[in-house]
Amino acid sequence: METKQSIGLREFIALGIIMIGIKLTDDTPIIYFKKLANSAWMAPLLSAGMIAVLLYFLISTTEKFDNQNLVDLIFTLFGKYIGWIAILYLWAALFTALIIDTAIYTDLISTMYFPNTPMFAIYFLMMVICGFGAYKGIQAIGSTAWAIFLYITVALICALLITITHGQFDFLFPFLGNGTWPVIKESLKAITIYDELLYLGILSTMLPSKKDFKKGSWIIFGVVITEITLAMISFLMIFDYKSIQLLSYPWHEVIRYISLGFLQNVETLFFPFWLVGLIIRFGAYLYLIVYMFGRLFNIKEFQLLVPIFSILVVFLGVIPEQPTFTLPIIRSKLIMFTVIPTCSITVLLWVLAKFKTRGKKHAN
Amino acid sequence: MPIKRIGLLLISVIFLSGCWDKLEVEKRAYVVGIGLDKGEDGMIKVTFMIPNPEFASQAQGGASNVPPKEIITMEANDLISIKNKANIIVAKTITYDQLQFIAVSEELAADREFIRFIYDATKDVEIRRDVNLFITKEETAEYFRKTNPKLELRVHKYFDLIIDHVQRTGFIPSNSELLQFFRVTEAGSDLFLGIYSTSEKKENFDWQDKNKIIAGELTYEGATGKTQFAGGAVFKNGKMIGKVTGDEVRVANLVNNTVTTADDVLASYPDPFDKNQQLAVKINKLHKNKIKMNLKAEKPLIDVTVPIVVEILSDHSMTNYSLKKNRVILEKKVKESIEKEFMDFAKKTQTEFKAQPFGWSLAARKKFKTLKEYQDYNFQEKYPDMEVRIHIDMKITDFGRQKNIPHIKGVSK
Repeated sequence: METKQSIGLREFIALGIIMIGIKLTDDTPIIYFKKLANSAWMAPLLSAGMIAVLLYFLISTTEKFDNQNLVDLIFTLFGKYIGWIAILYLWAALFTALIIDTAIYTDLISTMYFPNTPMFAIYFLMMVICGFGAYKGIQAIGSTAWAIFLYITVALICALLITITHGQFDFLFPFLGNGTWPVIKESLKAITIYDELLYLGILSTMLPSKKDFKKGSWIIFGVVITEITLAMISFLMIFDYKSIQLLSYPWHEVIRYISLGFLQNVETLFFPFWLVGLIIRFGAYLYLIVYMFGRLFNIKEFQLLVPIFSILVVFLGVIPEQPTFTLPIIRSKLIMFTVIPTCSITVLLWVLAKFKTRGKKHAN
Repeated sequence: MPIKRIGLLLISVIFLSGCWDKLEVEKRAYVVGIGLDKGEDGMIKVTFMIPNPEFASQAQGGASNVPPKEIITMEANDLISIKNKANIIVAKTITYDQLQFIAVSEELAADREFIRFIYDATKDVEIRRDVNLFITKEETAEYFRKTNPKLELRVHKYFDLIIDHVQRTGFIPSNSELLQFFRVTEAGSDLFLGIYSTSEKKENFDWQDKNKIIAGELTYEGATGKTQFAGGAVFKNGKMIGKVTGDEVRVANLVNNTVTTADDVLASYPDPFDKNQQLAVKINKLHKNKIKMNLKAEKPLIDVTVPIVVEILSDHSMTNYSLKKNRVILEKKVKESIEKEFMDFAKKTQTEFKAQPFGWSLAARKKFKTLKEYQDYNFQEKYPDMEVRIHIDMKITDFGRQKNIPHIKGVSK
């Protein structure tokens, strides 16, 4: 906390969109395709309603307390002890997510792009760079995000357009896929998109004002939901519901399939910037993790914890054997465990904030 | 400070070069085509076609006499371990980075085991899903050896060009890619059409219908390569069950909404004014077919309208088409012939293959709300008993460069 950091609105938006949007390039879409077949794209769209409510709660809570970010809020509203547990939970959830996600991405890079490079080398290098970003702080990460944001957006839009022109609209039918009930059930799981928005609440005081946080969060939310829905539709339009259930990483299969006129191997156009996107995401995760850890145990110079945590992530991340099969299972289990606590934390915060401010008014 | 920075840069150089996965073009042998044949004891025979990069550079003034390609055939268990095994004889590292096509012999394609081997292609990162799949009449090892194109000596370029062009004429299926093969096989309710090719020329061909040819049946004279591309290999549930002629592939292409439409289709139909003559026509499909389905009926109905425009390119009956009456007759008769051709092929798919290559299951999917309802309906099983109607919505737009020619009686007195 010694280094008081600040971040502009556009950097915040770029960071948020890259952090959440990059999920569509890993195996997250497959989790939904496996259960829902060709109606998978509805899950994020349907969950958007619930996420909007949660986001409204979060924003209205943060707006009531100036100069308090999410962690401060939890301490003031939940009290010292329960607040401590709540933050410990948030910290643990994010840390597990970081370990599993970095392991998945390492597996992805090694199977799709560098089959001969030892996985440990890729993992180690990735965490060293992420650690460097996290050590430099959220300001550096945000600026990097903004710097590559335009390119990433253009590349993504191009890829989506080419994919959709290559694809078949007919693959979207039968419209309801495996039926209405599974769609509703899975869309509840898709609320995990909200998790990241909640963690972004930690950055709320670094923005120029709480108004910017409100504006930024809504923009991130809107863009990310459309982005993920469109991407899932485009994957489906290329592969059809049966084939896509067998794939490991649909985005990478898509960019290997499409070609831009005479350019055959377009994946090389996307790969480097996708890598930077990854590093931004995990750098931000790492920063948030050490920040929360610092707050939990009153460590003032929390950024010095970065190297320890990076190394810890590598050593814990290489534990799972046969990562292609085990990690997605662990991850989809984890999703079910995190949805309820994050939702209830948000709702409780909102209710408590309502009571506190009303009480104040009464006293006045 | 500067020393620190330079040190950091130097360290990053070690990592950024990515030495573990470095590729050197010089040290690699790029396989352009893989051939798969049936081997012994459940093994397969794999044939690699490796073009010689040295050969291509001769255009810039190379003088040495290098062969254009190298062909190696080996027994193998799979497509992946064979890469290293091949290095026992090939000096350079084998790679599939530039792979353009996988050829499969008819014998292997008709085998149940084929599906096991072709799925190796999804395991190797170097094989892209837009690789073309084609089926050869003879063993692929022989096919590769006999393919010696004369006009375009670089084999990889030859295959690239011929597939692209024959696809545009509609004689071979336009979506014979691995991606489509896997998709159709996994969805399991349509037929997949693969490109059919051979280097064997039928010597004494028994003419039944001069226009309906399949690879190997085109008789020609002169000195050119032996390889022919025409027709399609029919796959049902990942196994080859038959083949169709080039003209049938054209019909399948025009009736199917889900494939890239061939845009350079020429065909011939009987001349309505002289039964001994044929009319050359050019067929263009402007937009998608209209498909109506009534699946709930006792005898389910599929009603397809194919919108085409036709150019009449020849006039051997020497009819005067400036008369409206003649044009009306022409339009009616040509439409009837095309409709008959389409319907005949549809009937053939119902009786012979018991499934269709027109992608109609996708249109049928729109009639159901959930996948379960659709799967319970079992489209493929019901298809042979369905009533299929194909209509042509046709317009004649053009009559060639010069619209009028003299009447035959006026010239030969």
